[in-house]
Amino acid sequence: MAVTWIAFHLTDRCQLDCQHCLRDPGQKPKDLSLATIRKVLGEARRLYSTKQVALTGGEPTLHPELEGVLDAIVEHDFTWHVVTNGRRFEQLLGLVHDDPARRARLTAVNLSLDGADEATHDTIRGKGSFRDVMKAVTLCAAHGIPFVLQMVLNARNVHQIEAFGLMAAELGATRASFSMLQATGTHHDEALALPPRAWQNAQHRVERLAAVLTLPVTMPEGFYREQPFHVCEPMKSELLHVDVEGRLNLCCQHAGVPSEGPARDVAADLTTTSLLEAHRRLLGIIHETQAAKLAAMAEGSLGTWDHFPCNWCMKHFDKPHWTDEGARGPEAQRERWRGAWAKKVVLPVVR
Amino acid sequence: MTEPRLPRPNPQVLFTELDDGTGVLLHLDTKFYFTLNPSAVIVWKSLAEPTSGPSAIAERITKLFRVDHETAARDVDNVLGEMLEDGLVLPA
Ligand code: SF4
Ligand code: SF4
Repeated sequence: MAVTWIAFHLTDRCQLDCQHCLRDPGQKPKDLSLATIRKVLGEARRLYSTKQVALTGGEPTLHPELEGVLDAIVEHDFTWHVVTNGRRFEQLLGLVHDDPARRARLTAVNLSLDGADEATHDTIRGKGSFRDVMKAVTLCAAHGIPFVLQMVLNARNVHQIEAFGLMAAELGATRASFSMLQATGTHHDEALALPPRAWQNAQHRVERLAAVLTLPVTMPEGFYREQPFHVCEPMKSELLHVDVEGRLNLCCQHAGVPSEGPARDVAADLTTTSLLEAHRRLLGIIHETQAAKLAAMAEGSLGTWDHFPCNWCMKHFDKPHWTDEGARGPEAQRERWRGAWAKKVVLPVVR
Repeated sequence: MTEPRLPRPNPQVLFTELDDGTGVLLHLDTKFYFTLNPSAVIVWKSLAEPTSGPSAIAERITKLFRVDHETAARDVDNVLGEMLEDGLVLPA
């Protein structure tokens, strides 16, 4: 067990308004400060010899100081990957090509693609976004940049698991990834929800696909586990997640998601607390969570939904989660904040 | 003699231009990539201009690259023929 990677939730800014988005879109977008990123990178390298950084969001390419972030990654001798919707891919490519050290350390571009065809994807993520991703895919292929295609499964696209895997293989992706939809706390939950049995069927189909394709096919945390006591990657401290406010929290699935009462998944503010101390407090949160799971097991109170580790976790932290009666928990605002922030972001444009 | 009409780009084909003047077409139905050399890029871009015919495209290529008109015209014909066969363009 080691702190293998650090994930930075760089920004809440995003040009899209995906139906399954977990970021509470009514909030005015924030950006993670470059000073905090530098501090955490230095500490993680020194303390844990961590080597990999993930950049997520929001849309990370909209961070106003993305160039500085990439320079900090290079200076601290990390490799990096980025999760993006592909809309500003040419700008990202420009930054990557401006400095060979940035390119040499880029391990993958993870492109969010929620359908095996344009109509399905665009219904979920907005018109034109399928072609944005395909253009980013083309640029990755042309420049020899490894790319991953990742899909959030839901009722609108679950029929396309096999077609998606095949498409990823045909396009030359290095991996296809299928995530389980988390309840968002918005009105979209009703149309996107699947019952537990359908999730288990989807999981089996992904496993079968993985056995058939030579391309690696993966499923991040969340899917059904026969054994109710499951220790996920973040709870093993293999991944440390820094939210957009510069706080160490449990994982990306918790960040920015509304909760009843103060957020209990947050360990400490990393601008004022050392990473080591924040990590120590995070272990306290993790142990409390695991003890609560053991108590629920002892009571015999676990239902089918509680065998989906992330769903149980979200319920435990009083956040939106699935039940047999649909999504429950606090509501998220839905109107995306559309201020003037986008105009302030200036990045070089290639060609 | 009237010029043959230009085929039209298949809407299921995505064009991406690269910094070095080359380009890539991705056929969204077959998921095949096709690389375009700089003169094929000119051909593809010209298809979006409704007034342009094959000889006008050849003329552009003659001006931009050091080739005579006859060679350029032959290249344009070949490129358009291959694009038709691969379903990248549709008959006019
Ligand atoms: S899911 Fe990602 S790409 Fe979609 S709106 Fe949310 S942050 Fe943006
Ligand atoms: S939501 Fe909870 S169980 Fe799921 S990955 Fe995050 S910390 Fe682990």
